[in-house]
Amino acid sequence: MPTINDVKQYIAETFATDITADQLPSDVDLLSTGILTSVTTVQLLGWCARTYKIPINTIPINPDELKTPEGIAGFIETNRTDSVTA
Amino acid sequence: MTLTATTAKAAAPRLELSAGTIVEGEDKRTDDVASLEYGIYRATKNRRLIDECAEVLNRGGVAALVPTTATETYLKSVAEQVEQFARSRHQAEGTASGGILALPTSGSTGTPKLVAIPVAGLVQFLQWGQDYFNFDATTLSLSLSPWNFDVSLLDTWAVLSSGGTVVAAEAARLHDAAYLARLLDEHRPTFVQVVPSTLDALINAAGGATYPSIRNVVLTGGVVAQPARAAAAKLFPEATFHNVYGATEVNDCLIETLSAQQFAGTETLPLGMPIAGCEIYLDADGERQPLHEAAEATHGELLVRTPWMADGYIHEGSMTPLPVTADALYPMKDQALWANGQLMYQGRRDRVVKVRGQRVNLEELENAARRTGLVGMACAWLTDTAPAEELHMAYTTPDHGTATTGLQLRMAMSATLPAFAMPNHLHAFAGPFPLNGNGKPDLPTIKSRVESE
Repeated sequence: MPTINDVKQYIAETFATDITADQLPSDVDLLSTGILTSVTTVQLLGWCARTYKIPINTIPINPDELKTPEGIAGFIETNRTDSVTA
Repeated sequence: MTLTATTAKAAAPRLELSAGTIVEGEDKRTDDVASLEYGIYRATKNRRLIDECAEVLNRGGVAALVPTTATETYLKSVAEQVEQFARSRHQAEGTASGGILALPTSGSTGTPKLVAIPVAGLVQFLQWGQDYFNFDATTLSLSLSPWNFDVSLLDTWAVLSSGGTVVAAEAARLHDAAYLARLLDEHRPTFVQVVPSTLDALINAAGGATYPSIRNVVLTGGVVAQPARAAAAKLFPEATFHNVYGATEVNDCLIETLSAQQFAGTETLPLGMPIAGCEIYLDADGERQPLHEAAEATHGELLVRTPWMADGYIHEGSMTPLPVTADALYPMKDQALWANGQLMYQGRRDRVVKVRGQRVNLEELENAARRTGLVGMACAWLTDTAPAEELHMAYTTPDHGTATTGLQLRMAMSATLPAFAMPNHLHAFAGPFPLNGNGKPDLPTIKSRVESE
């Protein structure tokens, strides 16, 4: 499953239970729609770190990149250190 | 049956029951508590209730109306307070000071309180209602709200006092579309007063039919989105619409009267101008400005004095005065803006919460949801469980529209609300909200349903 689908699944299950992963557009602004807050963005980063072995304490993080599902997926792809399977 | 205000031999004005009529009332007798000095009644909508209340009030006693759904414990607790208060008052003052009608507040903005309304003020209010709406023997009012709710003083008491007829709709059947449609079809009322939930119920019941018999529609108790107002204007094409603002403690104090076209088309309804005899001030951080047509633009908290103001609250067997200012103005805890000759509601002061360091007015959030036209009713609240505060909003599907997805609603609301004020969790209700004894959304029950999901 592409990373963006995992991201949408996690967001829908954890932060926006009124929306299904399928309904979540890749470019939706998660902050302006109230799905993510400054606090839950940190929670999301923790999930990224655990799931994809991203060293979040040692890499630069631009919050603007984490506003949309596609931005988050891009951030994961750029920084993941786990072994990626096709 | 008619309630007519006359001046009897005693100084206190009286409510005389004579010629008005109540139809469709409920014939139940309930576990009321009554004596010479007081009466505590479940507000079952029937003639007996009005007769007995007026009798107690005209004797200079205290009549309290509690919701029909009130628990035994609640009824007992009200009865104890009223009995103690009425007896001590009777011993101290006799009946010269006139009767007192005690109505519970809805509790939608705090703990329910028992508001003590003097008959002298009540009589003046009924007279205003008769004069403003031209009530007479041909008036036929559809009473939708429970009779323990202050709105019934206008749509029931004032109509009866003019010799008109009241169609007493059972409050428990407001979401029975067939029942409401029958009442509209059979009785062809000329007057109706609605709160947002009862307006939705009427629009739903009518199913596209129109009722030109209705001449006056009074909207009170909340904000109605423009699509629902447009549907109401189609439903009652010959009606004049009135947006009325008030509270149980001061009763109605502001009114905006509009044509059906204005009611349907205005994006946000103004609160209106002071009703004759009512004084309204805007208090901006201690700087107070009286509201009148030539007033300069300002905003602040609404302070109100009306000729029909309550004496206070009946609490623990005695009268607790209203929390008025030194010059006897009642703080409504509502913020308003006066600009361009219109008074606009800006939200409730005591519903401002702090979310992650930012101030958010829950009422503005609910209003933003309603203004999208994608929801029927909306109720917002804050939870502060770890890791941080989060905003929740429950909403119902509009009766006149189609179901919406959480994402559509979020997108529409985000066009007018900043990110920090957006609800983080949305909870869609398939049916109408559970209502409290006064016909308003019952927030504790709504929250408990959401939590049990």
